[in-house]
Amino acid sequence: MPHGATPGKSLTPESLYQSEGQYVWNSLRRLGVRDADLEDLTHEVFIVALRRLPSYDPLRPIRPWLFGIATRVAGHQRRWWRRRGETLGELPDVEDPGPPPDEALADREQRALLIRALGRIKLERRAVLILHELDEVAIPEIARALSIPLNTAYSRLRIGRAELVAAVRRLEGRR
Amino acid sequence: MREPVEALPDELRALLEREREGLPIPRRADARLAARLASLPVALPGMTPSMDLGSRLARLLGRRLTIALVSLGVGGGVGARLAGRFQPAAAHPVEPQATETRPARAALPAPPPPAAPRTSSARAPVSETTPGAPIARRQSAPPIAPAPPPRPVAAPPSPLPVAPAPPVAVSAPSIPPAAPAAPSIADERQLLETARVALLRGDASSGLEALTRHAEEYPAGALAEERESLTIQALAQAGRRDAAEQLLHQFEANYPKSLSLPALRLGLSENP
Repeated sequence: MPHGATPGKSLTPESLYQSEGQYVWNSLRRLGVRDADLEDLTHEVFIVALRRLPSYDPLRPIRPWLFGIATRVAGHQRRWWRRRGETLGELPDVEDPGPPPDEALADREQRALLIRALGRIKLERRAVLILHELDEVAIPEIARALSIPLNTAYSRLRIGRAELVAAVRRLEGRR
Repeated sequence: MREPVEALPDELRALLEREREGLPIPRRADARLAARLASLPVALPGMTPSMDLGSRLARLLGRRLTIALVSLGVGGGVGARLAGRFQPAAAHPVEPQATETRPARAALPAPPPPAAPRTSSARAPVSETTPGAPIARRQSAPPIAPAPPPRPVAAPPSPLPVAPAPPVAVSAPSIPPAAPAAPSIADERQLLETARVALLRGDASSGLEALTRHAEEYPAGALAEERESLTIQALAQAGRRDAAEQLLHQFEANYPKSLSLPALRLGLSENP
């Protein structure tokens, strides 16, 4: 299910997070939110989403809708929460992998390259690019989710693509 | 439909392909996020997108106060015990948090067996959906260190008449939202989940029962804030408005930034 599950009748903050938390996290990351802010802004996206549920059309896929909220939240970069982490107890961090093997390192570098390239593109076009090229959402759906005219969505994609190609080339030339 | 990606150079397509699969949320952040969102007011079953959080909570809080009053045989005493437990910090002020032992159960009577069969105990363990959970559960299984001496309880729980409840006599505690050592966040969540489900059923007394157990087993647990938020809702649902308000005041003092606050205040103010 490329666009996430359509919420059933009993939608709770938890169930929404369980199904879409990772999607929101990654969307914010792709939109250029710093790692240190991902947690807080992910939280904020869900808070906003729950508040705006009345405006969500259950017949539409939920991910583009969430992405629209994530785009606004990333744009604001304001933070409701500051270091709430210490109030909730630290879990043992079993993720420390030691030095990454080559493949993992390459993966990280490649991802970072793409994110940096995206970061050079204006947010409104970046959002269309991410939704289309990564989430594989059709342009009409994107236009709806971002509340922009269809033609605008197409033109943002076209310009954004050209900018992305150029940005990647520049970044690669520098390596 | 999708335009062909062929318009993009191969190299860029490869980059996109790689990134298409998102990264997992780091364990700790995931656990914290799940807990933070779980501490939001409960959603009702059948909740429709047309209801916002405030109205959902208001509806929850306003439901069948009178029925709850009648059926509160257990809940009253439970609530009183719970209210007494609202000062975990006073009970053990500066506990070194580095130890692996979970907080010892205070020298208080064990909670009575649940009044009703716990429907939620059959639910899949939370750990299935919480990446950090399996480890946490493993660590929590047997007590690792010799049992610490029973902890003195600062203020014995004050017995409360069932209803209408007078203000709970609790000294304003200053719970430092300190990181607890309890590694068993999944177990904690399970208990709170039980409470939440009970509240959704309108069964305030079972909800309070589960919340009491949580307060006893994890007095300074990682999810204490969520517990207190749920407790306020449970008391309100049970018609014990005074107690709910009293605890709300403490909650405001302890967690001034809690996201649950607006909805809790709204819920209490709209149901006089």
